[in-house]
Amino acid sequence: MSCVLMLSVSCILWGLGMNEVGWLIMVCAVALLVVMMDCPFNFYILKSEWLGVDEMSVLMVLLCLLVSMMSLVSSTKEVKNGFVVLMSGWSVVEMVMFICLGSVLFFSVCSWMDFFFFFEFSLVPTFFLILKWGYQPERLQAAVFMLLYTVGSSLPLLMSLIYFWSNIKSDNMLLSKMVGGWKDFNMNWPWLIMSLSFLVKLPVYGAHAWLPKAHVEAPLSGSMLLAGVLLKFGGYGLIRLMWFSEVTNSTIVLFVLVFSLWGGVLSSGVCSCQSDLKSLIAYSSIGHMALSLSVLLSFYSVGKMACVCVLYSHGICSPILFSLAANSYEFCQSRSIMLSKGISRIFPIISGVWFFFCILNMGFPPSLNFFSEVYSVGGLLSLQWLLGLMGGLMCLMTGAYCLILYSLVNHGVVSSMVFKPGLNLSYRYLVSSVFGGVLLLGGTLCLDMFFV
Amino acid sequence: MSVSVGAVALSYFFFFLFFFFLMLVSGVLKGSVLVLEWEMSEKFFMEMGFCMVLDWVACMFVLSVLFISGCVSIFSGFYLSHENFLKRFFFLVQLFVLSMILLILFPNYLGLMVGWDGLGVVSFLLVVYYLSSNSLSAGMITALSNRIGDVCFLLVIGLMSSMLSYSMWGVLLMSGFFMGFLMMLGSMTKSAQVPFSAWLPEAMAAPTPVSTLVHSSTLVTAGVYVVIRFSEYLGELEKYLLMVFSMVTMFLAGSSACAEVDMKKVVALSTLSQVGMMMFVISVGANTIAFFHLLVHAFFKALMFMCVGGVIFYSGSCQDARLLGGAWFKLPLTSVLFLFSNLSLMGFPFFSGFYSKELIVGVCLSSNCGFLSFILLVVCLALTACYSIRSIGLVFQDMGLSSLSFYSMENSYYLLSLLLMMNGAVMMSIVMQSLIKEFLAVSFIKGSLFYSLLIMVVVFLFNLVLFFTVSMKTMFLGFSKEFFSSMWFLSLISGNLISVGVLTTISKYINYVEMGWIRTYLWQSGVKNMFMGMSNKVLKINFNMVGLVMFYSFCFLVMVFWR
Repeated sequence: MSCVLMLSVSCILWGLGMNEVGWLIMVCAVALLVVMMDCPFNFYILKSEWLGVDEMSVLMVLLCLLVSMMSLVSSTKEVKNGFVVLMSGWSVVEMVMFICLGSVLFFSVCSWMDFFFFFEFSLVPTFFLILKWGYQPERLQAAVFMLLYTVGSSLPLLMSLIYFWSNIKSDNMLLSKMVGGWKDFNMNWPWLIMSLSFLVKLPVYGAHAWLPKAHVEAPLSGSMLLAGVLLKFGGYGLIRLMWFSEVTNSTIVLFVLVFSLWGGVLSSGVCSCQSDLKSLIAYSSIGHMALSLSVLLSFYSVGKMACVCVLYSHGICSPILFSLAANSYEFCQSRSIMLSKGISRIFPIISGVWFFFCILNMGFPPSLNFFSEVYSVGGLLSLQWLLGLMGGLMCLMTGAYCLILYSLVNHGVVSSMVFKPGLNLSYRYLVSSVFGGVLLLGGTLCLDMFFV
Repeated sequence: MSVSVGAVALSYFFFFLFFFFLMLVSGVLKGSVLVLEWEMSEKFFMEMGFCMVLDWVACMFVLSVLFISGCVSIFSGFYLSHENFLKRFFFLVQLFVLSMILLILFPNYLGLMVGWDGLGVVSFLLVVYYLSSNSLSAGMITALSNRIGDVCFLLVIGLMSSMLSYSMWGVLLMSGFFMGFLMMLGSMTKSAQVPFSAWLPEAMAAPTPVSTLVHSSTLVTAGVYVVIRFSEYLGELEKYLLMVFSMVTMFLAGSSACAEVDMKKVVALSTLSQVGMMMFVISVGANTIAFFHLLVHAFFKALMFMCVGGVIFYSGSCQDARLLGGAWFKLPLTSVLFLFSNLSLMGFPFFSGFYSKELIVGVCLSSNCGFLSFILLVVCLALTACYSIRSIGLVFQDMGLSSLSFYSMENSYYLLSLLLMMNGAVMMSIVMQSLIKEFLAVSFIKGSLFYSLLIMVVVFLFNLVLFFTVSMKTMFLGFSKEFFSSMWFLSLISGNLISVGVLTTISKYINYVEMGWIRTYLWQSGVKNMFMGMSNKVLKINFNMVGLVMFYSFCFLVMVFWR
């Protein structure tokens, strides 16, 4: 209670113009989370009528706040020049704060209708972020695809949630599960149709085409939030849905598992041949999410733990890769791999950070990415040896494209686009990268917190 | 520059002396072991933790790695003296040594992977140190071959997660079926055994100090070390497969080194054949002798690389031995040490390599390894002699091709590093045998004079035949030179064919499936037509008066009469 009071006082002070209070707000927010962290991992506690807490949701809220912080730090270009581009009164910063707010609430609410509301709510600021602030026609297509297909595939979820609500007369997550839930139902096909929206959001391989388009067209903060937070909505929703709908292992679940795993292998392969830096990192997101989905669907407890760990570690590593790509866009004015090359000769520290995050992406021990990858492959191997081999093949291709990404940006002769006058290089990217790196490397020391 | 070189080298030697003193004092040589374990997580039923083990094996290996790194730092003060970014280079080398020490000290799969992945990734950075496209392709094949080993180890960890422990003594508790096989496969990629041998000669695109440290002593022996530590996981079938692969590697490397012209590649291929010999000895069952050969080989091979590096540096970075020559008169200390290290490699009596090679041949004779493998072992020893003598000949003989007739070898870093390494290489096995009693193995073979002389005569005649064929220029040799110098076409298959094939397939896949089916059919036209078709038709109907009336009366009837 006192934390909340302190937080609201600080927000008011910030609104009134005291600028250093911003840091205080962030510290208070993280302190609030630490206070909430005394919950054991198997239980789901209803903290109030609106909020429900278990360790996974605490982890996800922490992820949201961290990624929003990193994306605001990295996008100060849009704010700092003295000329803020406003679209009907909002700037990029307000959109980022809206997405952050929507995500934090999404991961904390405990009733199914609010869950669905916030699931769709965060699409609106993302739509604005992608669409406005630019006039290319591809932006329109990217934004429309994202909105239309996500909303369209979540209509069956809405229908089934309303049906369920009208039967059980309560849509509180914990209460409805305790009262009865979906007994006497054969949940195979209904589960598939309900989870379709999460599968499109996650994204599973067949329904993935919106993601590279959206990443390529979005500005940096939009990409960071999309990769860091919005893809995790799908994973979180699937975990809650599996718990809620009591689905058992069957042919349909196996079909989705194999489909997503093989799609992960294919998209990791596709990564090696991309010509656009952001598109490459977007396809790598698809690969990681596919791995987490397939180990989740193996129904082992280590599967859920590894899934949450992959979500978290990917959610920190991928936004930083995007911010590094935006960094190289700033000096080369192009996202193409043919033009942004040879950074290692002129900016050695940024090259070192690129290397560090490329190898973190491919699962370099002892970071959190390594443990998530190991236990994903281990969980798949325990289910069926062939799935483990597929997981191993995916790790191999992940290693290949991460090294290809590093060598494309850093190796060789310096690109001739770089030596432009007025090059404003700032260390804000490095600060957020170092922060993320410390989190990922230090996560090994408190592994129990991430293996939920 | 001298400050950084001095600082780095002193730090390595300081740690070397520290460890040496610690080893002597702590009684590790008498068999005591220090184990420190750190439990990381309690969510799983099994113990998930790192354990650090400090026994005589780990101590000896750490000591040799630290000593060689110290000498290599001094050597790189000489070889890279014109380099602007020497501090960056030292930083990379230090990261490499750190990964190697983590690998050595933590025989637990969770801790070992830190060192293992670190070795692969840092060696990629070291190989691409000179930013050219040649070194990039070399770095890529190095890193991707190592990545295959990483994936095998990931699968081993996945299998071990169902057993009770990740450490090297886990086999006493529970062990699974494929663990030994996958572990062996992973080590084979790192140690460049047969299907994965193509990266080692290519990795000679790295600077010579890197080759001295990485590709002679530490990176390729990491795989052998892992197999030695986890050797109890290997069953009969895995040992048999290891024997076959290591034999093929030895023969491949020996025969290719006879036809290779790049000096560094000859030394790399000799490393490859010695590593094959180490794996062969492990497959027969004598782990201690393999470890002995590993340590001794590290020293004289590092010395050989340093001498070759000196010759290359003083010839103006020319690596092709056809343009070198006459080092006997121009670089006396270098050529003497090169001769000594080659004699040691061949197993000339009472040099370093003699003791370990004699033990290897002895253990092969007294174990059940079959007549054919023994014949192949002798053939590989003969090939070793052949390429060593050939490389000595190439470096020493003055064919009049080298344009410089006088070298001045007065760089103090070079002399200092050679002096340090020289003591290490020539006497190392005697020193080790006096310190560690396990290296004095006794094998019970009845030594008959006739048969040993027979083997020596056969080896000598075989070498004569080989020299005769290698130096003749008939048409038959055209094909066999191609065959041998591209490592039985393995380098072409591993690099060119696989990468071109995979990338072409992926590009075609992107073109047809990704851009074709998924983006246009599923997203742009197909599904859109499916959704929008109905609403388009309804729109069209509504623009016509008759259609409008009919549509709305239909809706009215439906709403009124629906029950």
